[in-house]
Amino acid sequence: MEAHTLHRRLGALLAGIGIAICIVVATSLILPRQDVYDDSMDYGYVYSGAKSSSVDFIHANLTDETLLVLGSSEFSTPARLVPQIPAKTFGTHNYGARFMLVGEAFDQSLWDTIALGALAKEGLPKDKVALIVGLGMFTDGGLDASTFSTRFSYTLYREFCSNPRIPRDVVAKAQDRLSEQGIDETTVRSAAPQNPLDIIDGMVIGGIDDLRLRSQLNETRAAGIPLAAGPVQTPDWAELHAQALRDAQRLSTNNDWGIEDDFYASQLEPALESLKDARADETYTDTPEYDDLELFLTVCDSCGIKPLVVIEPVLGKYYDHIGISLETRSAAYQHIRSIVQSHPTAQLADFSDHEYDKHFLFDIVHFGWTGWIDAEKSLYEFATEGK
Amino acid sequence: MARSKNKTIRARYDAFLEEHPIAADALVCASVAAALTAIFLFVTFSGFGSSAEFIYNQF
Repeated sequence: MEAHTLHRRLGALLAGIGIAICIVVATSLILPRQDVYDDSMDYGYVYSGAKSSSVDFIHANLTDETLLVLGSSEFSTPARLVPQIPAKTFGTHNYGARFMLVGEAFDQSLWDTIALGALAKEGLPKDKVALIVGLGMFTDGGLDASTFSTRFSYTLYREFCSNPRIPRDVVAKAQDRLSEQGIDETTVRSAAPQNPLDIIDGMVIGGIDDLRLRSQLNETRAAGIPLAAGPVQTPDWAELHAQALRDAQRLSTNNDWGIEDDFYASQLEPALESLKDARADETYTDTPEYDDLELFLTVCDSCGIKPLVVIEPVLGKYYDHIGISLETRSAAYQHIRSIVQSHPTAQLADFSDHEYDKHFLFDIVHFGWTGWIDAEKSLYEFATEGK
Repeated sequence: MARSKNKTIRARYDAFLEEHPIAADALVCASVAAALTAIFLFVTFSGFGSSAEFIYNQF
């Protein structure tokens, strides 16, 4: 190829790259920023991965009376199955406390640690956070890498790394854990850059994550509920509990496990026979999750955040059936308690003794009718103490 | 036979580039822009690697 032809082709190639860059820039200009929201709406109860990963969106929606609550799949429970979920109890009444639920299915203590470190960088209302943990997080082997990779948020991780209140050795521990969970070295290094290449990597990965969140947050905005208005009321917990029992009796009619009808008929009942003693080898000991919980509490201490750790029980009768003994479960609960109690500022809301309470869960692992009311009472008291 | 046909196609392709240099440059430019845009749109908006659904059998 002649030299002038080669130059022309190179020019054409550069022009192509230029056009692609223009398209990226135009996309960036079209999408609303992450912190755009409607101040007449409440997004705290929206179950959304994009919301949970967006530091800007969460901070824009925090008020002085908001408590950040980190959890996972329990936030996905629909109100048609359990009318006692926080979106109904707190989202439709002005109790003088609001809750920002952050997390999705499979978010565990490492994800929670990174999310807390990211969100605490700019401070949290009343310097408090609540964390919901359940035994499902502590199964042997820990969370597999492929599942974790779908929940990893670069935006949260970058903010976590740049929080000056978190000691560098704590950041390094989190980075080691991310590498163990399959996050590639380029991504891990780029949020705490040590050379110009790391900075460029961070700009590209961060830029793509920003656009993805901005695109997905439109769904979150559409799912917001109108802010609860009117004078501040005090929750009548006895009446809420009584209503929860009435709803449970209406929605749990085809089984004596005390769980929701459709879950029992479609998921549990068909599998019961094959599940007998199927998990007898579970120990709840061979997992990095306990160290991750310790890391979470260390970040709380570093950032001056007071945590409430809510222990969600599992369905005792089901776990007996699959061969995980009460003794094994009790040891795991005790391990969790001992970690929390080793941090003087941490509080516990321990519901592990409700494993055999009918209607406390609506399935085998998630708060149900009376369970949510009891959990909400502890969250409300923690949020409003000293008010 | 197939080889000779391929050769003919290649010869016609080269002849086209020779005779229409501006069209060839435009083709290069459009291909690069389209490829980069497709990669960008896929990585950013496809939902590839989106959150896993909760499944009970892990518990």
